[in-house]
Amino acid sequence: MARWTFLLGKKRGERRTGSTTAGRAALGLFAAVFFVAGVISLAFVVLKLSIPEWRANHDFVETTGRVLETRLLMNNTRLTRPEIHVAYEVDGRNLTAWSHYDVRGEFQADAQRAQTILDQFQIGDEYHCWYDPDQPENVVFARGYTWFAWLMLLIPGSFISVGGGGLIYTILTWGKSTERIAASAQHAPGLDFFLPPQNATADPYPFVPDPQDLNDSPGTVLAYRLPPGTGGWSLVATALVCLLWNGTVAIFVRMVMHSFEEGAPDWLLTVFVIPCVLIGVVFAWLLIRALRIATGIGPTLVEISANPLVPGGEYEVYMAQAGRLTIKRLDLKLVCEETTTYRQGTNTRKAIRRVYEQLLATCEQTAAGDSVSSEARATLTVPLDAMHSFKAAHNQIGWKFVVKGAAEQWPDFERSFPVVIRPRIAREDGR
Amino acid sequence: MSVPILTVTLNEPREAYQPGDTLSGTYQVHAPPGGESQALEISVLWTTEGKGDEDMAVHSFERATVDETGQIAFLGPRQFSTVLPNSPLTYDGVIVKIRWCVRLRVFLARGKQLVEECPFRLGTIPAARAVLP
Repeated sequence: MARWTFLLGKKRGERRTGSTTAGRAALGLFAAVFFVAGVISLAFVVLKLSIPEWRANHDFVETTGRVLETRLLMNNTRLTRPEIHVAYEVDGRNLTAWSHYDVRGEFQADAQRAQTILDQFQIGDEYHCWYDPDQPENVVFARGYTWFAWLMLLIPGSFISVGGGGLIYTILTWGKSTERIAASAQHAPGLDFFLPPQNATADPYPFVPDPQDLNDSPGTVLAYRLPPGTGGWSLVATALVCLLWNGTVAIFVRMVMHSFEEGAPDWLLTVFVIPCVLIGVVFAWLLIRALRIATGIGPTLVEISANPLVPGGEYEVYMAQAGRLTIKRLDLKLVCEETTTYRQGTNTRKAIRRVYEQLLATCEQTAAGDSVSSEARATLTVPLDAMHSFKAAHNQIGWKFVVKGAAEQWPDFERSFPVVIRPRIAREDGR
Repeated sequence: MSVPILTVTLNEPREAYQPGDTLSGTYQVHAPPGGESQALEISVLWTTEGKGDEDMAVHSFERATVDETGQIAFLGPRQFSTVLPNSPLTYDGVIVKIRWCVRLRVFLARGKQLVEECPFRLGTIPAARAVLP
């Protein structure tokens, strides 16, 4: 049964459906507003700031002007501007005009600065000045370039880039189905920024991660030593969160301490700060724990006889824990996790679910210096019906070895080593 | 207003296709007299469903429009055929699901569209279950 597309989005199971036409129209309108705002603000900046400043430095004619009087002009928002009444000669004609000192002639909040400018001029004295040959009554006493007039071009420039890009995308995709856009993007990777640039026809295993990235390091016991997962980034993230949180809390703590020192305790701020301090202590504990694990516990090694793996295949796996510490228990597991990212409001969130776990090997009670070291070998048989590794822009199915350890006088630790499982192709098995 | 009826049928309906198999079938737009169909697209594609934002990729894609004489040549039954890729296989995960389908999309006048999908399975991966911590 054919179905109509919907104007308003709705949930079908866990999938959101809706009118792509309405979505693209909204994107196009949004981009058009950005683009028009960018063009208008660019015209304003160029006409009011950049071109006058450039002309003052290149086109204005130098002359000598005699100061008749000075004044500090204040507008209705109480901003001030220095003004100098000057007499000068243009092509044999005597002119008088009020100069705004420089070509921008802007009002400013700092009245003292404006007065300082006026104090440079003595009534009756003559000074170098420059007039506009097209409008001789426009005369300035200061030239030169300001960073403001040119840096301001970046703001409309970014609006035009974002809006223009959105408009081009809207025009290129208008009236086209998502399938047609995706097919175009796959044949010309990079054409569509919103879809994964994967050429499905050229890749024998589309959307399966390339195992070559994991095979750079040869093993000492087995063929490949697997690189560890992204534990380093979590340590950096923990450190950043800890520093930002505790840095902010420290400012409030200082304010509280100051109020106590002054003899007028701010009890409301004190009550607010106490839980924040406790959270900061937890962050600090997590950071110290992560640092201890990263620096105190030696590296964990995992090696494998082949990579990528194939469902039904049999492989050798080797694990070893370096470092002088007493290991209470060390487990090696094969794990599969589904990972997905999704937008919730303006945030991008990540969800992970473990869907497979197989214990491969265990080491128990090996003391530092023992003849029995913390290492193990295991034979792994990948389940025949295992899902292959999969990676797209928002969804991922990933396989990895996980080493979970418990050592005396150390916090428990867990380290992961990604591995790729390719789909099992029946025709290649000769079945 | 009567609208066209779209049909997509597979030549060999199976419980599951395997990578390298040829998927073929027939599609047809049953348009009423004076119909307003402008173009159609037939695609073999996969999409993800589940908790995350949707990913999709097109394995094969064909588009037909009205010809120079204004004749709607695609209204009769037409065949499609493609060799299925090695991946991704159909997957029923906990928060990630991968679905394959043949999708027929017809463009009507004034920007309206009709869509008909014929799902199929690629591979025989059983449904996944969450591992409790």
